[in-house]
Amino acid sequence: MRISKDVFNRILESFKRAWRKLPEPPDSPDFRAQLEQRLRFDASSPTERVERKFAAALDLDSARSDSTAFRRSVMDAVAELSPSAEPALGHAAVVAQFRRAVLLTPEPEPSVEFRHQLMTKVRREPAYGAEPEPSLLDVTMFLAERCAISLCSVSVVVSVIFFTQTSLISMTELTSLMILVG
Amino acid sequence: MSSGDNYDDLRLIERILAGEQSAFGELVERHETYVRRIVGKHVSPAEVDDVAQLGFIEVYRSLKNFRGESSFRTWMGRIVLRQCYAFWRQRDRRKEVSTSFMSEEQEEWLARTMNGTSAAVYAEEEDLRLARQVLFFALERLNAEDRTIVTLVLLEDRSVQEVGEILGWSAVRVRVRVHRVREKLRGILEAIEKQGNDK
Repeated sequence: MRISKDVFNRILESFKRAWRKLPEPPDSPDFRAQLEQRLRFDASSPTERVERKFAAALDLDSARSDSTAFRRSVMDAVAELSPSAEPALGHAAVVAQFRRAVLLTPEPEPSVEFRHQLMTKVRREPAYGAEPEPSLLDVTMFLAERCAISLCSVSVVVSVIFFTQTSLISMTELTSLMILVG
Repeated sequence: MSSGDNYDDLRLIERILAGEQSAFGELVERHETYVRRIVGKHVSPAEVDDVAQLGFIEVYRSLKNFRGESSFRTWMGRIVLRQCYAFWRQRDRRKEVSTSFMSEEQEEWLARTMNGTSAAVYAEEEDLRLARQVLFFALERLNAEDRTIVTLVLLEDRSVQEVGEILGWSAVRVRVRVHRVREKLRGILEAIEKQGNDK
């Protein structure tokens, strides 16, 4: 049944009343202490931030205690690799973190779909009619979405970001990466 | 909040910008409840602290841009709302699909609200609880932009100019989107109603 304008407005009024009377969030005794910690973290150098975020992600992964927190932690680290942050990043330090991640994480078997998506994302010269070349942000977001798969896969894809950022990716590099993933 | 309170905020901001970082702690203390209350309306309780803290961090980073054209609290509120919007955009990118479904009780509430009999049937608290549940069910089915338009324009009655400033859109774009979002929301409610009738 089509909802008339009057009926819609009546429902909307109920929603408004409910919205105005939403319960307040419960007190959070640690709120200020956590914020202070985050502000201190924010003031550190980009390299330090990435290193610490990945270290935190690795700790969480090894504990396997909270997959949501792990995912968020990796995403936070990845967010540090945004194009605006890139010039200030110490790449060598970050890559070292990824290598450490690869070494520490048990090798999983990536899915065919994952490999296909990775290929699509790193393709530098799309075929006629294919999607345009992805931006660094696309690749990063793809990574963020997929980071629940495994830290190893995440590490490989972020390595791809570095390759694609600095130079045109060669078939040799791509093949090496695919071997790593597979 | 009085103009004197805003004056106190301005003094604190001067101290922070002069390098006295501890003054930001005082600013947070003054506005923590206000900020968490705003965020608490827009994200789930489990996410409130995270988003509110990101909001404060953004406020801290932006302090040097505060021109005093509005009260500090108003200016800060907009930054915090922008952070809520960013939260939903990030959620969209993760493509998390809502798996919630309507209960018979919620469908019945909607049917009664549609035919104007809910006030006679439900006690106020019960009415508010069901309205809230149906509202959040509908909001979960909207993307970040649409959700923000619904909450800020349709539920909070903010002007299209103000929402445009928060989202970084022109007022015209907000106005067009409001029209579309009303239709979307109506479509969602019609689908719920149909689902209830089909049972």
